[in-house]
Amino acid sequence: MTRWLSHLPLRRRIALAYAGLNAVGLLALIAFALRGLV
Amino acid sequence: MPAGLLILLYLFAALLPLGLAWAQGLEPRSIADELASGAGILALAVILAEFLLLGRYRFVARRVGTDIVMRMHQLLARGAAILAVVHPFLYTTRRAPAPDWDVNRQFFVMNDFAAIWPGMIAWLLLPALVLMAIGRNALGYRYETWRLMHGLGAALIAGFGVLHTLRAGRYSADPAMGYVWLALLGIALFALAYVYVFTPLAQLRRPWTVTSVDPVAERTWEVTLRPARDFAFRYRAGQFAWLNIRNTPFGPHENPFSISSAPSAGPEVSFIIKELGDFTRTIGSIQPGTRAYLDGPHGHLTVADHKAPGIALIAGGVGIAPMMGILRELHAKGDTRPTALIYGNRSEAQIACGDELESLTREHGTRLTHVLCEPPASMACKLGLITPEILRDHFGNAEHRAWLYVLCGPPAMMEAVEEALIALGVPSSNILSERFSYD
Repeated sequence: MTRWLSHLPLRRRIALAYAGLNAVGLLALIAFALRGLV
Repeated sequence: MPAGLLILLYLFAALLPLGLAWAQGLEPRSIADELASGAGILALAVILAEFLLLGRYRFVARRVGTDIVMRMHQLLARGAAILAVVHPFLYTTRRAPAPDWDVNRQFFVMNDFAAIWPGMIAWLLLPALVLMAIGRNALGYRYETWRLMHGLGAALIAGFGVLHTLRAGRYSADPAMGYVWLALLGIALFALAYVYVFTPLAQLRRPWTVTSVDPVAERTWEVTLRPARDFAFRYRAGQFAWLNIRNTPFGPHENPFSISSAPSAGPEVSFIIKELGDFTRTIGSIQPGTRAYLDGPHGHLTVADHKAPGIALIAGGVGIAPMMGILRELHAKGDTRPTALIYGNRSEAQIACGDELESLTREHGTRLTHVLCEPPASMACKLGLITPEILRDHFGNAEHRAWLYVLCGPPAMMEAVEEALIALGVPSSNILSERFSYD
């Protein structure tokens, strides 16, 4: 994993970080919206 | 500050209002309504956090890189704009002035005009601001005009967005959450004031004077400044600064340029600048003695912190500017590590500081390779672009994987070179680059 990451071009590492931040934000948003179901 | 900690801090700031809304324990409404409120809260928090991703704060940009911070600023704003634009359409509950008995707005979505209009203005401004930023080059704005509009627009969106959520938001009616919004808005506006007020105020005490403007290639100049008062400007070779010539430091009249001088050469600072835009086209007419201001140094394109056994500099066009600074500094410091410079241009006339490069690389023992698309018959150089084959010829051995590679030039060149180096087995942590254009 570390080796794979260390051989990713900068553009793809930025895209990965962006996707990760988006995923966390969307998960938090969905959890907030669905909290009434629990 | 390590990148991982920065990401955690960012997530904390962006998710704090949503977490506070959750913690209030109000009875959830329909999923669509909660999604609508959540999207609005998250969008506003991301927008306010955007002000810390301006690339001008060294505690943020030092470890991550100014260009990466700026890129995240661009990308995250797009996501926030989408959330903000869709959020009013997600509500399904009746929109009406809430009756007195509906204290927690359980059954009605606020539709008082006084609560809605700030949100409508922010709702209109935000996508316009993002689209103008994406299409900045195509729209043909002067850079200074665009910067002013972007800063003002962002401040208006933040202000109206917070006003809207304080008046209309179900969760922001809670006093604690209201104070958090005001605190986040305060931090955002302070961040903007840091760039446009406090930094210029500091610059007034540290003025510079242009000492020379010399042509170094076709439509390319080296501008040299010296401090007009007794102060020290500490920087590392390869860094850049925001340069403002002829104008007051208060305003949008500054542009980022790489420093081409060596820190050990003295207090004077030089920039190699190519005529590419509104400001740069006037560089040749600048007279010695003109007042200038600098904000910097910024950037991480520097070899000073790296202990690599060799250094490769790969430049395209005016991307030679930071490389000149690095080469000059390595030579001045007597650095004995092997070095190589691959320098790509369209024609011989575009080679900046050609004579100095020849003598500097010869004296320092740097392997210099010119790559030209249109070479003269008499010149020994590689033909075309900086290709993977050229890179393999220079850096194809196993020991070259531990070298440090510094790239500066057109985005397409840097991407191609980076991918070729990675294919040769060079880890990306050994590749330094800074780019300010991604779209």
